[in-house]
Amino acid sequence: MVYIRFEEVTIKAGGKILLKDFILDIEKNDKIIFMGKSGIGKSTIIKTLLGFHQIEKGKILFRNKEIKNDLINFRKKFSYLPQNTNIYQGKVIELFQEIASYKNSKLLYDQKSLDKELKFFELEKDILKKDFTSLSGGEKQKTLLILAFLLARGIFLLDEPTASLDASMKNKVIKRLEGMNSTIIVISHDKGWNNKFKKIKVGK
Amino acid sequence: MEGTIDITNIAFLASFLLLLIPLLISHFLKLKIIKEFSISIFRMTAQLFLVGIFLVFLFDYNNLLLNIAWFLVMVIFAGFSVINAANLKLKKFFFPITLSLGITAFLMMAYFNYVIIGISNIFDARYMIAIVGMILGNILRSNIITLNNFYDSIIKEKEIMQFKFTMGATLYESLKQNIDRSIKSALKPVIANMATIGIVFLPGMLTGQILSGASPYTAIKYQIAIMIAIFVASSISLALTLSFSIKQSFDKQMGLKGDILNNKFYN
Repeated sequence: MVYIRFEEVTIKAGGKILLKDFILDIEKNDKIIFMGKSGIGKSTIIKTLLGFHQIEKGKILFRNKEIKNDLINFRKKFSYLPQNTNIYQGKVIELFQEIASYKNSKLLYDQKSLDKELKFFELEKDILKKDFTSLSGGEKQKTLLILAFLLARGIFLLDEPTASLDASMKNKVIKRLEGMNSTIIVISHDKGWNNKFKKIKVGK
Repeated sequence: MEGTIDITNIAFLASFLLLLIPLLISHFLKLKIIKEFSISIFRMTAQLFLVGIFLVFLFDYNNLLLNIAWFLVMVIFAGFSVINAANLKLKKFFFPITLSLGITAFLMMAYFNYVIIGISNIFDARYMIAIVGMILGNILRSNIITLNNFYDSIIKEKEIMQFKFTMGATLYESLKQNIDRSIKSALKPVIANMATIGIVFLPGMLTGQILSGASPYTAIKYQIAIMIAIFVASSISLALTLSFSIKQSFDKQMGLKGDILNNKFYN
């Protein structure tokens, strides 16, 4: 069954057309990557899926239902990584605690799974006690990727997930994503994504 | 009470003589503010005289309906000026903000006049106008600070809010930090004011009562009670203003509506 369907969708970003009469069927566990130069507004595609940006024309359907009628529930299906990672003031551990406290987050984590993720991303344990704002760009991105993996919702929606990672970490993350039993939608200008990801060009 | 010594008309004109000093200063320093300065002086004088005439009339009649009408006029004007200073759309915010100011002013006035002063007619012109004026004048400032701060921060931090929504936060959960910060920013000056009062400055109410012949004890008790009332009124009105305005600012899908601010468009 088609999971997410773009039905002749036109999206504008900053007055320019980003997608025009775009048609795409995403099946469960498909891996999709929207590619294109930076600065053309690729993030707008993600903002549209999350319902924070209006569609110019057409519909986006989730299991045959138009998403705009039920955005609040639709949003809950995403493990989302924003491109702008400056999203928190406070200690790293408090970020995890705050999100776990949200009424609808369903974030469950224990020390063991957190430790495992820290090890995967080659981060020291004491990063949890640091101020989120004091982290480097790479550390912020890794922290938010950890959050996305711990949330483990059905669809991963990742905006430039490798932008601040070094080459070996980039490959490690790509490899992990391609092996997952999840639907994954990525926005990237990176060329390192292999053929397990269906590539869609955005812009000219 | 012996009452205040009236200022004779000639003596009153003498107070205007003092204006020669700033006039000379700005003339020699070529500050070029003489025009603005004269307009302000003129406006202040005219407005206060008009209010004076009006107050004499209100006090003489002391009619319940008239007093209630004046209460509403004060609240509505306060609502206008808050929305204007906070750069919000009048159409969307007039009702919620005026309602918040009105509820607060009414509750505080009723408590102050009935429980603290002990008069049975809470709308008695003399007390109602003084107390409501004092409370509205002060919560006006804290409402403007809070609203400015709140809307600035949610526009700057739109992506943070979107992130929090997506993580599963409710509207309140995703705005909590912004609410906390904007309320604190408005209450801080009120709190600081309470701590320095009496030493750094003598507030107008205290000065006025002492000049009118009240014992300093009475004046001080009034001043303390009114400071507490102002602080409580600020807290109540900020909570009401924010909760009423947030309802106006977000759609059902938790998106920030695009047409709530004047002069600023954001997407």
